[in-house]
Formats: sequence, C-alpha cells, structure tokens
Amino acid sequence: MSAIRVNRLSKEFVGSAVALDEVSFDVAAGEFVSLLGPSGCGKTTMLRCIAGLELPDGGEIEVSGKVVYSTLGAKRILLPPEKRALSMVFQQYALWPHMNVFDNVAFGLTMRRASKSETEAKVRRALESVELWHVRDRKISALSGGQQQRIALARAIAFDPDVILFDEPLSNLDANLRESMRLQLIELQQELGFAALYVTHDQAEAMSLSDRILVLNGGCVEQAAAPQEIWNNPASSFVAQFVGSSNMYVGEVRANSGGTAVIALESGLDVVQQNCSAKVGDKVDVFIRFNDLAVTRERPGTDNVWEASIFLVSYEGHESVLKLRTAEGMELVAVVPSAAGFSRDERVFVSTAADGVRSFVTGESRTPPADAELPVESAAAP
Amino acid sequence: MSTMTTRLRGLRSPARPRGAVSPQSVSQRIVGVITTALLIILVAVPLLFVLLAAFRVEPPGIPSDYTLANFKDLFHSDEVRLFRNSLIIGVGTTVLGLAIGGTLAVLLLRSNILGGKRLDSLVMIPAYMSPFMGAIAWMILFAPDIGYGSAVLHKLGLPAFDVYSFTGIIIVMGIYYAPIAYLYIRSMLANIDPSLEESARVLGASAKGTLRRIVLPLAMPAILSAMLLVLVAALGQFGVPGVLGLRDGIDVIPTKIVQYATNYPSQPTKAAALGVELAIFALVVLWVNNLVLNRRDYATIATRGGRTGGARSKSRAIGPTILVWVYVFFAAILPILALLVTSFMPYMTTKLSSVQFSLDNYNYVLRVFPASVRAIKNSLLLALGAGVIATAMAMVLSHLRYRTTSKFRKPLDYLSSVSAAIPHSVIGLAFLWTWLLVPTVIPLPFPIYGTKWIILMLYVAMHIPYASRATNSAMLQVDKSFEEAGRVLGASWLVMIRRVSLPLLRPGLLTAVIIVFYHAVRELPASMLVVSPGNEVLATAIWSMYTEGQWVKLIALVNINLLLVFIAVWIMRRFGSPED
Repeated sequence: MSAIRVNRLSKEFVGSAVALDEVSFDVAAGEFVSLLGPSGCGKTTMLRCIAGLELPDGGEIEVSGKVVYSTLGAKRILLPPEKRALSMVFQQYALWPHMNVFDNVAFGLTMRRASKSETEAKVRRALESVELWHVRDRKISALSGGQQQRIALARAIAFDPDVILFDEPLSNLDANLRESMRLQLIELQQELGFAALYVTHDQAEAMSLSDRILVLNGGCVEQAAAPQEIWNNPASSFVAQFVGSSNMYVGEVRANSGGTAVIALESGLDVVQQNCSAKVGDKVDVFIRFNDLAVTRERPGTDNVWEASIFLVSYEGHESVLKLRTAEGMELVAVVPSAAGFSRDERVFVSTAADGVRSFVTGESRTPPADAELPVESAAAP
Repeated sequence: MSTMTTRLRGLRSPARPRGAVSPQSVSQRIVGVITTALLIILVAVPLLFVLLAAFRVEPPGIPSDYTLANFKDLFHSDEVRLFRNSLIIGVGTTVLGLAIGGTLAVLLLRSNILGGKRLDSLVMIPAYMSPFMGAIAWMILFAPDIGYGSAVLHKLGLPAFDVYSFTGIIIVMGIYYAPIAYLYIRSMLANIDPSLEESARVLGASAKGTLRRIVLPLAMPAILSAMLLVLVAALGQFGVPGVLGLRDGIDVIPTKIVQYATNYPSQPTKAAALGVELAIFALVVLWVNNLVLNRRDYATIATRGGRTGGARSKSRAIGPTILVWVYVFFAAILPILALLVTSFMPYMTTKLSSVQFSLDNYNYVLRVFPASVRAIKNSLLLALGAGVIATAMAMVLSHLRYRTTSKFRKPLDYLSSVSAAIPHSVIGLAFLWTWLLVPTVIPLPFPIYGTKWIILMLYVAMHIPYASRATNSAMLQVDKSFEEAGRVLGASWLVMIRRVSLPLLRPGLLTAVIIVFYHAVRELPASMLVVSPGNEVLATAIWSMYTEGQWVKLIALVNINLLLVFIAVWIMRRFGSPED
C-alpha cells in the first residue's frame, strides 16, 4: 500500500503560469520523497492539494490507501484536510502564538481525543526527540527560529501520523542550522518510519534527505529517481541545469560512433562525449559541471583539453572558483582545490574526460516520468 | 558566446501563488449563507425600499401609485438653496479639515516634535468627540453674549465671532473632520520608505524640497482620497448644522430630510427623494475616489522589507510643536473644559464667580429625568449589541474574503461597505420606510417599527463597514497557515475557528466591537428617525433637551456620552489591536 498516490492530478491557476498537468507519482510507506524544482514549478501547489488546502481541477489522490480526492471515479470525492490522516510542517512553522509549546504539540492528539495520559506521554516523546522537552511551558515567541522549527516538527510527529508533508521547512534557517536539522530529520524519519513528501528548491537538501527525488518543472515531472541517479544521469537538459552547477554550451553533433560523439560548440571548439544518444546533425545543449573540469599546468592526456587563461579567481576556503577563457573566446568555470594556488592571468590547461560531458537535444527537454507505469485506468471515469 | 547556469543554492524561497485557498466545508457555507442573508435584510432591502419610496405618491400604509413628482423640487428655488448651503458647508469643511489634518500629519510625522507619541493620541480626541458634541461645546464657547469665548473676545476688544453662521459651522466641522484627513494622510506618510526621502536629501534636495518633490506627490492619492471622504461625510452631517444653523435658518439636505420625515405634516416621500439624491451624489464621489485609488500603484511606495516611518528631521521643532498644541487646545482641551464647567452650573452665564456649582444636572439626567435615564441604558445596550453582531458578521465576511475563493466575495464586499457611503439620515429614513412598509406586505410575528429592534438593526447596518475594516486588517495580520495547520492536524472548520482563529483575532475583534460601539453610542440623525417614546437613545435625548432649551442639563448628558466613548476608546487602545 502506498502512503501517497497521486494520479493524473491537474491544477490550473487563473492568471498564473503555474499549472500541474496530469501529474502522477506515489510515495511508498516509510519512503522519503522530495519534490524538487525552481519557484513556480508547482511543487507547493502539489503538496497543498494533497493536504486538502487547495482544490485541484481533476485527478485522484490517495493517502494511506484511502481516496481523499477524486474526479476519476463515478462519485466525486473531496475530503477536508482534517479527514486525510496526514500531518504537515509549514514553511513559516505556523506555530500558534496563543498557545504554549506543550499545547501546540498536543493539538493533533487533542483533536483525536487522546486521553490525558496518552497526550502527555506522546507530547513528551515528541518533544524529547527534538530535545526541547524543557521548553514545554514557554510561549512560542520566546523561542529562537531553530527551536520553533523543531517544535513544528514535534507537533507534526506527535500523533504518530503515517504520512507527513513538508513545505520547505528549513528554508527560513541559516546555513549551519539547516545542515544539522537535515541530519536530525533523517534520523527521526528512520526511527519513526513515517512516509515523507518534502518540497524544496534546494538540491543539496533534496539529495541528502531523500530516498527518491521528483524533479518538477512547469507543472510536470522531469525526472523521478534516486538522488544518485539524478546526479549521475540527469534525464533532461532541465535536470542537468538544475542539479549541480554546470557550464552550459550550445553545439551540434558532428559524428557519433557507438555513443562516442564529437560535438562542435558555437565557439568553434570540439568536445568529445561518451554515451551520447543524439544523432549526427542534432542541435544539443552541452553541460560540463564545474567540478568535472580539471585545471592543470601541464597538458593532461584526457579526451577534452583546452588551453585557457584565468581571468578571475574567487577564493572560497577549501576550494576556489576559476573563470577561464580560451583563445577562441569560450568561457569556462571550474572549481579546483585552493591548494593548487592558481592566480589571475596564468595560462593553463582545462580538461575533462568524455564521461564528464552531457548533452541533450535542444528543445526536447521533457522526458516521460520514470514512474509512468502507474495503472492509470484503475479508477477511470466511465 | 557561452552561457552558464547560476548556482541555485542562494535562490529565495518562492512565494505561494495568490488566491490559493482551501475548499470550503459545509459549516463554513452555512455560516456564510446566514451572514449573507442578514446582510441583504439589513443593507440591501432598506436601500431598495427608500429608492422605491422616493417614487411613491402616498406615505406608507396606504396603497400608492408611483410618480416622479417628488423629484421635481430638485429645481425649485427652495431646494436649490438647500444644495447651495450643503455645498458651501461641504466644500468649506473639506478645505479646512484637509488643511488642518494634512498639516498635523506632516508635522507629527516629519518633524521632531516634543512628546510626539502622546500628541498623536491627543490629536485623535476630537475624532472620538463627534462633530455634534463639538458643536455643542463650541456653542457654549462662542454663542453671542453668553459664550465664554465671546466674553474673552469682548474683553480683549476683538471683533465678535458668531458661531451661528456658515463660518461657525465650517470651523467646527473643519476642526472635527480634520482627524479623518489626518489619519488618512498619516498612514500614507508612515508607509513611505524613509530611503525614498533620504536618497533625495543625499542627492541634494533640502528638507522642504524633499517634502514638495517626493513626499507630496507620493501622498497625493491619500490626500485626494481624504478630501473626497471628508466631503461626503460633511455633506451628510446633521448635528452641526442642526445645532448651529437652524436657529438662523441655515438648513442643509440632512436637516431637511429629518424635517420632512418628522415635522407635522410629514412628507416622507419627499424626504425619500431628497435622501436618494444625496445618496447618489455620495456614491458618485466615492466611486471617483475608488478610480483615483486604483490608478496609483501603492505597492511601489514601500520598498520590500524596507523600513517605514519616513525620514524625520533631527532637530527639535518648537514651532510645529506649538502649532499642534494650538489644534489640540481648540479642538479638545477648551471644548471639554467648557463642557465640564458648564455641566456643574445651574444656568448658562459667563460670570463664573456668581454661580453655585453643583452636581444637580448630573442628578437630574441620571436619576430624575426618565427619558435620559432610559436613553443611557438603551444606548449602552444597543451600541454594545450592534458592536457584537456587526463584528461577528464582519468576521465571517473577512474570512470569506481572505480565506476562500467564493464567487460571492465581490458582491458581499460592496454590500458590506456601501452603508459607509450613505449619509446616516438616509439610512435612518430607509429603515423607517422599510419597517413601515414590510408589515403591509408580509405580516411579521412581532413588531419591528417602534421597538428597540429597529434601532439595533439600524446600528448594525450603519456600522458594518467600520467593523469590516477592523476585521479585514486583523485577518490580514494573521497568516492563513495558522488556520491551515489547525485543519491538517485534525480540526474541523468550526473547531479551527474556535481554537485557532478566534484567539488569534481577539484584539482585532475587540477593536471592531468598540469602533462600532463608540460610533453607535453617539449617533444622532438616523436614530432620530427610528426612535419612539420609551426607546430613546443618548443622542436623541440630547437633541430633545436641546430643542426644549434644557441647556445646562443636556450638557451633563453630553459629558456622560463623552465619558462612555472615552472609556470604550481606552479599552480599545489598551487591549485591542491598533485602529487604522
């Protein structure tokens, strides 16, 4: 049984570009799935439709095996949020300032008419799991942002929900706190075993938290796969652009023998790519990650080597970002260990192996979602 | 040549799409339908009836034909005079009120005034006093021969100032409408990002130049808007011309409406026609106001996440401080002092040394005179009741407006704000007509006309726009995710309202109740048209005592009325959310 099943869900907004277009996916029990995408891709809308906070235009949503919304069956189904047996952590935390910490966390249990002793025990367990039992009598306004974040988390888990929705819960924290909260969240999810659907625009967050990532773009799923797969084999130009920081060029395939292709870039330089599926003559978008470029003083023996001069060095501690320009005018960005000690105006060799290059046929950025095998007809309307 | 994808780590979190709100639940729909029905009965029906009445031949109770005859007086010299009088007073009040209010706003927000925060509250006192009470105070100050102020002027050898004149009416109304203009322009000035002015100064403009080139153009929509609002309010004003004008034959449209409706032989159809004309004029002015407001993009004035509050000059400003105090002195201190002193005197006189001060007047209005005793009780009960009912309705409407995508939001918005545009005398007339006519069509199980119910309904209908404004701003300050969290964690709509919304909105709701209370407890012209013996309210009791010439006694009642208003305002400022 899936924790969440979304089937051909559509939602349009009047006067807005955001629209969910027959999106389908599911989240297995105990699975951690992220909806990743830029702002306006529809990910928050999707989450709010599942929570019952927004009304979709059509499709079907199941939570823990129960249909909570459907226009596909004979009877239209729409359950209010409180009947959906799920929990949610809000971006702005939405902790009620007129209740103290304990009452906030106890709310879900109170609504489920839990006994006093059960409420006490579960609130305690939830607050202890975020190490904040000692602030239970405080007012919400007396807490720091990080503490509020953890209280919001405790409130969401207190009544043992099987499904928890997360709406960019870490986006209001500063970088250090975000990092530690991420780890705490994974630990909590592994311990309690709830299924999580997590909305974020932060790829690092999605990567580190998720069993599976759904990359959303313009209301459609661009790729649904494990983080490693998304990282290593982005399915589309959009995913390649969104995940990891890359140099992007436009080119045309000149030759392709058994997947090893030569692509002529606009700058006039050639680049060799392995596992290329584009045909000769195809216009392609070419991506090379900043980290996949090596910068050396000696000419290396890899497939793609360009001579370039460094025109900008930006020191970032352990690593430095270099901007380079070849004689032909092609610009590259590379991230190298600071220890290499490159300086401005140095002439160097920039290189990458053929498997560090990715290309996608221009304009064909959208690929069918990986989990399109859902039995879509199951609940189809007559 | 080459492009590069930016690092996405630093991207700002996306804003939630607008208008995205949860589907409505059944209980929410039921509450919405009940409120809508009430709103229609209280606002739409009476306005339709008064419109109908304007075309009737016969008074209520008699079957009638319909005619245009009631409007033919529009071009009659008598009515032309009325319109001229109203216009002179309206325009004069607007010019004076705006000049005072605008000056106060600029002085208090842009110069470094001594005791700035406290002065801001003092400047608002005249707004709570109401023009009617102000007119009574100014009457005892500047009535020829018997006014204290007149005596002082005489002693100083200055020319006499006759308060029973156009000038007198305009000065009193200008002074007591100035806070409306002040509030409007102040909130605009307070929202201007100081960096907009600071950058003008850095780029070489003087303080005066900045005011002229930056502040005034930015505040222009608010100034224009304040102007139109004061104009409409002034045209509908009954109490001031009633007290200061009628004696010397200066009558205006609202006083004529009341006369038509109440003087024997009454001419209620003519009153309705006159009322419809006034209401149409007011609606047109406010429609123009909306056009003006919609043309300007207010969002550009406050930079996102920026500071607000404007740029104040750094040096202590003695001149402006004195100016503000002059206003406070003439609009609040002097009138209140005069009211207080006079209320302890056996008769009106300027020879204070010759009189015996006593509490007799208070004893009379609080214990002896049945009408005033009843009026105090009735006013308290009705104003408070109207406050609670109007606030409850306003909260439901605000919730519909900000938390749902109901297609009825727009019409309900209009319906809940229209009564602010209709002069009180016209609303009173509309209720009079409605509850005289309705029983002739549908038999009512209990009478409405001639009871306290009609006053209660009238107060709710008249003041729902004030309550709505307060609940709207309260609703905007409470993020909807608080409510959503309640729903997701298991609360039904009603439980969510009770456990999440109501506690969070409490200060705003208290403010709404009190705003309605202090407006209703001092309301005169509409009340005059619907009260009946035994159901007097404070303002109508004061008015009857005025027409009977019970001078010093009515002033005791005015002071009791003022005290109630000030207590309510104190409670609001202490426990409610800020009024704006």
